[in-house]
This record gives sequence, structure tokens and C-alpha cells, in this order.
Amino acid sequence: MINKEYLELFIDEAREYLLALNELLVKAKDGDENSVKEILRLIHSIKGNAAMLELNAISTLAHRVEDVLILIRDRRIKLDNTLINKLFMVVDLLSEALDVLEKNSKLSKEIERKLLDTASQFEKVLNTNTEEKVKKRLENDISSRAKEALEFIKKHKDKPINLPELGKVTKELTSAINKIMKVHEFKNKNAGDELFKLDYEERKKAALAVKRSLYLYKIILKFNVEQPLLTLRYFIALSKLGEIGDVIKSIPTGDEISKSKAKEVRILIAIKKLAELEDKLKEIPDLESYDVLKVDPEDIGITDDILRKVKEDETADKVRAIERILKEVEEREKVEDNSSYDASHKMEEVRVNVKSLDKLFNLVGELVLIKSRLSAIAARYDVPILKEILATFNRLVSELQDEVMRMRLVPLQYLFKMIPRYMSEIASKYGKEVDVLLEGGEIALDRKVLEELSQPIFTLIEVLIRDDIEKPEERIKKGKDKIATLHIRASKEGNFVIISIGSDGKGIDVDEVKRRVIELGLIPASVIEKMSNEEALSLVTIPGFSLRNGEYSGLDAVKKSIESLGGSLEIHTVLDSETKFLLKIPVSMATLRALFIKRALLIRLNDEVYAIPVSSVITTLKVNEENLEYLGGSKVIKYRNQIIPFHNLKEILGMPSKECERNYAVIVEKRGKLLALGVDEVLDQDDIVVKPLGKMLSGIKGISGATILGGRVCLILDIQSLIDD
Amino acid sequence: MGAEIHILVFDIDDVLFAFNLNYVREVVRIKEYTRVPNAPEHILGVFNLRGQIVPLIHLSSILNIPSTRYNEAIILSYDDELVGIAVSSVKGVLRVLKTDIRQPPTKSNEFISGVVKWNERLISILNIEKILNKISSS
Repeated sequence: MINKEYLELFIDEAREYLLALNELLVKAKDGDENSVKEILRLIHSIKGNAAMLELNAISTLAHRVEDVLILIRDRRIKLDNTLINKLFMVVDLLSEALDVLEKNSKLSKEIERKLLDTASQFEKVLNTNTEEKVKKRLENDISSRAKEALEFIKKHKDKPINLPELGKVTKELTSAINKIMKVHEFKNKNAGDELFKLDYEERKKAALAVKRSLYLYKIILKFNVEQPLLTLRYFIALSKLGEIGDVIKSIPTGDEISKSKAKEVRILIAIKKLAELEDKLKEIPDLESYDVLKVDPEDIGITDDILRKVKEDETADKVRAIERILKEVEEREKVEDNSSYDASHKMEEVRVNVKSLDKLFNLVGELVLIKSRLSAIAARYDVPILKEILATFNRLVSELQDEVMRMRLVPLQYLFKMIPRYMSEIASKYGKEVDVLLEGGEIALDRKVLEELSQPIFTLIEVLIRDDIEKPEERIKKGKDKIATLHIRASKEGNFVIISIGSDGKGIDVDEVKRRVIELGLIPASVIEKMSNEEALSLVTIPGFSLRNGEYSGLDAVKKSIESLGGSLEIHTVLDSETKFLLKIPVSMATLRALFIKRALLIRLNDEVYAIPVSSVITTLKVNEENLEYLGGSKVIKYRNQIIPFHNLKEILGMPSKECERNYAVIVEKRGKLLALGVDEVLDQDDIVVKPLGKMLSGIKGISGATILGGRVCLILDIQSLIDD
Repeated sequence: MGAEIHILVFDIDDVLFAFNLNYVREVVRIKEYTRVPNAPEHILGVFNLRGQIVPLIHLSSILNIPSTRYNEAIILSYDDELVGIAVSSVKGVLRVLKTDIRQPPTKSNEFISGVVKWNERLISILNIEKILNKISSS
């Protein structure tokens, strides 16, 4: 069952490619070389994507077309009008196939047949070309030998004939002529021989064998038994031959043999020694006769080109294919803005301005707060009709909440598509070779959460590439793959989305971490000693931590970001094997509320009310004169055996009547350090709806937003930027 | 675009100015506003306009006129956001022929785009785009 989303994605992309192909084919017709390369690229993509979705008829056609295009690109065939028309036909056929695919979510037998027929047409173009080439080479061979002979005769026209030389030249000429004849023979014998029509896998196998210096032979076995014994002997033959070489192809195939009445079996095999083959054949029972013919790799379409390519394909796997799809999605995003849409495709979607979505979300947030206030009142005054109406109201607000949330859902794909590019930049920056495996792009998160997650995720990727993954030489020494793998996987578990970001690098040495933390004086040794390995591993996220060479620094910011989303960060490692960061993000409304609705501590300064997010607040204290002291010119206060700096908040904010009523102080945390802020009065703790300040007011030191309390604007303080370090 | 424009006339400390009505959203009385610490000089503060937070700007530093009591705010729409300009009082809307608008005297403020006469008094028409660009860039 093809995943519907991927299918739709494939269809949309493919349509765009086909549009581009039409334009490019016109350009190619006019002789533009670059168009051919672009066409090749697009066909290659279609082949890969179709293969991923197991749309084999499409990928086979694309494959054959690609092979022909390669010959065109390499100037081994000319792109004449016939070929161009064939290519236009392919585009039309593919378009038809996409229509069928869209309607029925799969290809019909009819369209598959058409696709495969066209594919074999292109294959014929390929084969003719191979034959042409061989013929041409021999012709060149002969004509140059003939020329040599002519030269020789001219030179020695008047001289006594030098027999040995003449003999040599004649011999060479004769051998060349024999070769041509053999080719003709061969062609006649093998014209239409199915055995030489190899598919991609078979050719690859044969090419690999040739690379290993094996020789190709065609064996014709004639048995003198009937079915079902024939089938048995067939398998024995294959098994024995398999002992001394690689069987590339057999006709009939293993599936077909039981139905075959003919007693003849043809096998294409790659072996090292012909003598071994002869011996083995003698071991096959019930064999009436056999024939062995040497096969030239070029006859089955194995050129130097393919031999070279074979090595690369060995390492190709699904990872590259997935990466390709994602790259294409990225490409498609860019194209999306400029291309014209087929109206029938896009009517079900509407573009919404992000600002409107945010406004909508803000409003729903306020509704939710009012809903709870109303409920509280209804509880106090027992009015039946009010309760009834409220119940309906509550339900409606919840549904509204859900819908708005759903509108804001964006698949992780949008984040993932940026990763390959980022990753290759970072990899080359640090001299590492990395490949990425991305899974779970279809999982969707709220767009704001996704925004907030991108920075931490990119930071983690950089940390892994920079600090965990070893340089290629080192990896080879360790017996690892030269190219490291970055594995990013998203999955949903109940109310959580788990994003795992890992690499197969050197891992984190927990003991080293412990030593370093003690060395930096971040946590006393006595506490460290009692820690388990898991607890100790999370020490890398303490503010100010880094290993001696600066590795694994900056993780505290990552942890904070994730925690601000209501999530958590876990670290797993296996020494010299892998390091993995696990991000757990809750997907309930609670998280989102956290972004727009904050819990804040309200304080009074003169006659104004300010809000401080409780996430920054440690506690509040009543301050007496005695608690305040002076240390080196600045005020300090004693708090729990610590001396911490004391600041008059009114002074910091430049307010008039700076005299602090010196009654209260709020202890806050800034980057791991504690501070005391003197305020006039500590009021409530409350849930507030954070309102955007607008461009004109953004970037003001110390103010992160505002809320409306009692009709008045109340500013929200940002402790981090409020006080200079 | 037609031979006439509509302008909203207001005064700051008895000096008459005007905005092209196209930019004006509404006019409100300033009841209270919240001061914003560390904000640039021209921002008086912010206030609540039906649930939206709007900055309140005064033009004294831009127009080189003394600061004074502001009773009303003219709400303009700029770059998809609202901005409030603090003024003493709003006089009303005037329909003016383009031909009646004179070039301002050469030595005058760069933010005045034209001058028009009305009942023996001169009204300086302000260039809103220039003013708002200046404010948001600082």
C-alpha cells in the first residue's frame, strides 16, 4: 500500500517535472546542450522516486530513457528528430500514467503495458547502438591494418620481399577479418537471444564479475529427460555451475523451468577458468550435449562506462533515495512560488497569512482564560440556566481551540528539508564526511513549536558533526565506514513527539565529563560521586560546560529551549559507537499555551504594575535594612548562605522617585547566577496572555512583551537583557 | 487620482498640522498610557486599543517643537501595524484642492510636504511615510 501523502507528493512533483521536460525538449531540439543534462537529471529523479514507491513500470521506462539520454549526452548517439519525438511521446505517456495514478492510487495493467512497451523501444535504441559501436571499431581496426599492409607493400615494391614481415601483417589482417566474421556469426547465432538481454541487476552482476577478472561464457545444455526430472536436473546444473562461478542469467528461469517442455537450457555464467567449467559440466547427469561459447562483455552491453558506474552503485541504498526525494521537495518548494497551479489540484487549500493565524491563536487563548473565569463565577452563583449555557460555551471553545491548533500544524518535513544542505555545509566546515538519514517527516507539530525547535535541532546537528563524528582517516583506522551517518528520526508516542538525533561517532566518555565538571568547579565532587552514569551524562547541559577542547559546549541553551516548550532532553551514548540526543515534546494544548500564555509574577513599582515570567523567578523575600550590605561599592543581600547582588529595579528602569520602598525583593536567575531585584510590592502570580509589542517596540532592552491587565498595558520584563553582565 | 485630497487637521500646542486621511484609521482620546523604560525618546509609551497594544509617539523631537499636553491620539496604519500619534486636539477633516497646496518654504522641516491656507491660518501637511520611516529606523 503506497502511503497516500508520498503518492500525492510524487504526482505533484512529477507533473512539474513533465512541464519542465516539455520546455527542455523544445530547447534540446534547437541544439541546446545544457537542456540534455537537465532532462537527464529530471528523468533520473523520476526514476528514483518511482522506484521508491515501487511504481516499477514507470521507473523501468525512466531507466531506459535515462540510458539513452546518457548516450546522447556523451555524444555517442545523435539527438535526431525521431528521438526527440520519441521523448515527447514519453512525456505524454508519463502524464497519462500520472492521471491514472491520481484517480486510482495505482497503475492499471493497461498503462503498465504501454509504459513497458515504450521502455523496450528505448532498449532497442540502446542495443542497436552497441552493435553499431562494435561494428565501427572493427571496421576501423581493419581499415588501419589494411592501410599498414598497403604502406608495407609500397615500401617494398622494388625490394626483395621480406617474408617474415609480410607474414606478420597478413596474419594481423586475417585475424581482424576473422573477428568481423565471428561477430556476424555471433550476431546471427545470438540474434534475438533472450540470454543477452540483461536487466539492470543482471548487468550489474555481470559487470562486477568482469571487474573481478572473471570471463563470461554462454552455455547451452541439452538434456535427454522429460519433466519433472528435467526440472530437477536443471537445478542440479545451476547448483554445480554456481560452485565454480556466478550464474548471471538462465533461460528458462527458475520460475519458468517446471512449465518448460523444451529440453534445452541456456546459461550466462562468469567464471575464472574454462577448464573448471568443462569438468563441472561433466558432472551434470542426463546431459545429452553441451556447448560453450565465450562472451565479450560488450555484447551484453557492458562498456567501460558501466564498469566504472558499477562501483558507485554498489553503495547506493535507500538513504540516498530518501535524500533525493527530500531534495526534490526542497526544489519543489522553490518552484511552487513561481509555477502556475492546475486549478483543480489546489482548490482544497487556502493560503493563510501567518500573522492572521497568530492573531487567531491569541484570541482563542484569551477566550480560554475567560472561559475559566466564567466557570469560576458560575460555580459561585448557582444559576442552572447559566451552567447549561456555559457547558455549551466550553465545548465550543474547546473545538475552536482544536481547529485552530490543527490549522497551525506543519509537518516536520519542512524542517527536515533544510537539514541535508545545512549538514553538508557543517560537514565540509569541519572536514568530516557525513550522510544523513531522515525519518518521520510526516509527523506534524504546531508551527510555532517547529520554529522554536529549529535552532536547538541545528545546534545539536552541529555539535554531533563537530564533536562526535571523527575525521574520515580516523574512522577508517577504527574500521568504521569512512562516511559517518547522521540519523534523525521523529516518532509519535501518545502525547509526545520524540525526535532522535544521533550519529555513529566516538561517543561521550562519562568519566571525562565528570572530571571536567569538577575541574571547572561547576558542581562539587561529593555530589558528582553519587551520580549514576545517566545523571552524569546530562551534566554536559550545565551552563558553562565544555570539554577541554571546547567540545559539547552550548548545550544548556538547547536544553532551555526545549524545556520552554514543555519538553525534555535526554542523552544516550555508547563509547566509540554512537551519541544520540532525544527530544521529547508534548503535543497537548498545554505546550502551546505556554508560548502565548505565561505564568507571571506581578510586581508594583510606584504606581505601575510589571510582570516577570515565573520561569525566571526563584522566590520573593521581604527585605529589611539589616539584610542589605555593601560589598565593594555595590549592594548585596544574603540569601541562603549566598551573597548575591542586589539591584533597585526602579533605578534600572530609569523611573522617577528611585527611592525603593525597600520592602521586597524578587530573587531571579540569570544564566545560572542569582540576582535580587528590589521592588515596591509583590502582587499576585497570574496567567497572562502575552501580546506582541510590534516592530517599533521590539528590541527594547529588558522588555520582552506586554499584556493587558485591568484595561491597562502591563509590560513583561526580560531578565536576561534587563541587567548587564 | 482626482484633483483633491482629504486631510485630517490637528494641532500640537496650537500649531496646526495635517495628515493625509488615507493613512488614518481612527482618532481616540488618550486616557492613559504606560511608559516604556529604555525606549527611544519619541515613544511616549504604549496603550491598550481594544485589546491591541499600540505605541504612542510624539512628534516633538521630529518637528522640533516643545513637548506639551496631549489629549488625543491619531491612529495610523503602518507596515501592517498600528501606531498612535499623540496630539493636542483633532480639529476635523478638510477637503483640499491639490492646486491649493503650496510648497513649504525652503528652510522648513523636511517632514512637511506642503502648506495650505485655511481661514487665515496655515496648516503644515506632514509626510507620514517619512516620519514613520524615521521613527522605526532609530
